[in-house]
Amino acid sequence: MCIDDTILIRLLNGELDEPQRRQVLLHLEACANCAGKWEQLRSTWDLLGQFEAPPGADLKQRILAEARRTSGSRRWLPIAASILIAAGAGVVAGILVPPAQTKAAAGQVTDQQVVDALGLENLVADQTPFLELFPSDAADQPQEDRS
Amino acid sequence: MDMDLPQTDSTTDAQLMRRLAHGDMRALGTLVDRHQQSIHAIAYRMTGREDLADDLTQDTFIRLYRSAGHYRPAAAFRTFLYRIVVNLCIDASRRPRLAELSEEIPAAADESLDPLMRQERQRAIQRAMAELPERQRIAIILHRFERMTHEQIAQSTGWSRSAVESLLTRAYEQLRQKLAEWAGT
Repeated sequence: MCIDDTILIRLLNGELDEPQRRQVLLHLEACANCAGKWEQLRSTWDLLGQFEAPPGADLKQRILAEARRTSGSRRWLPIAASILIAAGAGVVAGILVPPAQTKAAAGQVTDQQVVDALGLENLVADQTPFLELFPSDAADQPQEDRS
Repeated sequence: MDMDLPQTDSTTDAQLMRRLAHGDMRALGTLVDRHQQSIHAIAYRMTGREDLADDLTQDTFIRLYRSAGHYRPAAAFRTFLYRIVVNLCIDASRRPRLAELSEEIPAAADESLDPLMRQERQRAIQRAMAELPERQRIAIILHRFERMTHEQIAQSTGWSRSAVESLLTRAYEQLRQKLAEWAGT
């Protein structure tokens, strides 16, 4: 029985264990058909080895600069968001707060009143490191076999 | 099989990722030093363009940086990293195509042909690779050039093992046909 191409491809890449490898090589000695396929595969494999990739410029400084730039702007995002929400909430709180408090508190709405009015305690108290606020795409994560 | 590359110091890629998750930029620098060339090579062989490969390499490490907090050492680092570059290459290939292959051909390793023939051969291989369907091209790059096993390719791409087997069988056969005139050179 002849050998499947997948086995020959694994052989090329050194993926077979020693007993499997010996068995395949023995078969190749005895089977002209498989030996022919093996030679063609090996020839293609060797040829592809001539496909050089250029070394490429050293991108390290460019990558680090971009990472620092990204982390700098992203570090401010949750803080800026909190300020904007709190500022907007101040307007709303002025409407929601009972009249007696409003008279005394024109311009004196406390931070705690804003937080309580809009249930923002989780946001302003959020100490989540900024990286975790911007999870990567799910596609970047190794996933279960989707076949 | 442990896919972390041999370490030049005692710090593993997984340990560097933990440090990176805490904002240690030196850890990112070390990861770039270790893996930049292979990432660039994958991107170049996928796109045929050095300028695109530079951009994709940068994007890969930026995305790695952003993902550091989510990396779990149960996943081999190289699988994790290669999944990023493969996805970015696939995304790039779907944008309006800046279609021309680079005119600049890197010097081939083999000195047995004269320079002009070597260049022609390199171009022929590059063209043959570019003509492969995208998934076959990815499979070949990871198998032939990154020497990943079928299982590792499956992990890096999310494809089933049988899909990887089928892709590689077809890809090698297609390349054999396209490059028949260069066989043995």
